[in-house]
Amino acid sequence: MEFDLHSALHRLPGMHGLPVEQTRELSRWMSLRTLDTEQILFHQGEPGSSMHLLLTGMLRLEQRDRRGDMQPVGNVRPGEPVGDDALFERIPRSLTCIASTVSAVAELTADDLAVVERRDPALASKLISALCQVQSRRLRRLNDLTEELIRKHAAPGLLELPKHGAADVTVIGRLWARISRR
Amino acid sequence: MSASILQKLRLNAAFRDWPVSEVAVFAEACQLRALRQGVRLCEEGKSGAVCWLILDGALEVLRRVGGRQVTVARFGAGDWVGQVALLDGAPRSGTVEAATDAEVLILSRDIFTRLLESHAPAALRFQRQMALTGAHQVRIASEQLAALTGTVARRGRLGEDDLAEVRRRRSRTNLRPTQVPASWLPPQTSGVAPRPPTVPPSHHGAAGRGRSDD
Repeated sequence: MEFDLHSALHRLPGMHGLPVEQTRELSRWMSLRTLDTEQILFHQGEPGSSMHLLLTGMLRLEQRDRRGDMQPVGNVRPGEPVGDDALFERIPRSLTCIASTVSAVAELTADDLAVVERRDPALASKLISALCQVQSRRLRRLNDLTEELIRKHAAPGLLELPKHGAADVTVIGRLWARISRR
Repeated sequence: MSASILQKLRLNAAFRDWPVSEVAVFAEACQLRALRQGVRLCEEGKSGAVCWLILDGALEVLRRVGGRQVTVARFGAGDWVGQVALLDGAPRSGTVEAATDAEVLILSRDIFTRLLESHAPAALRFQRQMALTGAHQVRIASEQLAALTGTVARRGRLGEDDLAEVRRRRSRTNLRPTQVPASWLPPQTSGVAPRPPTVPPSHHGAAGRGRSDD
């Protein structure tokens, strides 16, 4: 089975213009893995020391809530990384990652990233910068989802503000305003 | 280079594990600014070109709601604020103000870019720190979404307590590496490490007023 790692790397933000030689160098340090439908890539709570870049297929992310029930928190599409925080800190996985369909991922370990940093700091810098931008987009998406959830399910009257009426007031902003008044 | 900046950085939690030579690169590249309480550093919605490391005191992030400003998060010594602007130049998601008299280190995008282009180890280390901060923010947002989704699934709606929790979580997004929220761990091994020491109070110099760093 052939995978286009070069294209997947190019889909990361800021990596579009990366020369083939650099993606080739980076791909030397990545290992490929295929997953069957419903196969678990990693469990929440287990030690993590690598990131996975999804090449084909679809992954879903679930997280245990305070009562121990697993809740869906997002999907990973081709070209998106998952578990990338483990490149920078050896901490337990915060999510469980499951293949929704037959999928293929390229794995980069923290140790291998350290080698890339020594051999080609510019390449490592581009990759880390790309991952930072992915995180930024991810954060906005999670905030949007949270805001939508609150808008749909907040108890009646909970989001009402005194009559200011600005059109650009966000739901979370209303919550903050309400909470701030207390 | 200011010896006092170097000394302050070496005491700061964000630079705790850095080699002195790399801290010195940052001390050289950044500007120190003393702030009086209430000084505004940037405006919501405007593009950002700098970020701040809090050396002493506290900064608050405010958002405009119905024509007034409400506090949505508060950060203290050792926290980076506004660092995403160095990467994507996206509009500021909130206004940043000094919640107390404070001292911050200012890093501009221009300087950051030059550091990156020089391939200075300090720049790479800083990038790693930004990635780590971003990862923590994503983790907390994800944890929050899971908690709210679970509550909706069980109770059908969200109450006051759930919404208060939203704000509380947003004020701890710049976690240190040693802080692992209990909910990330399997139930039987849950535990939260203590917050590491922060820079001690220091004397403030002249404080700028009414000047935005962006």
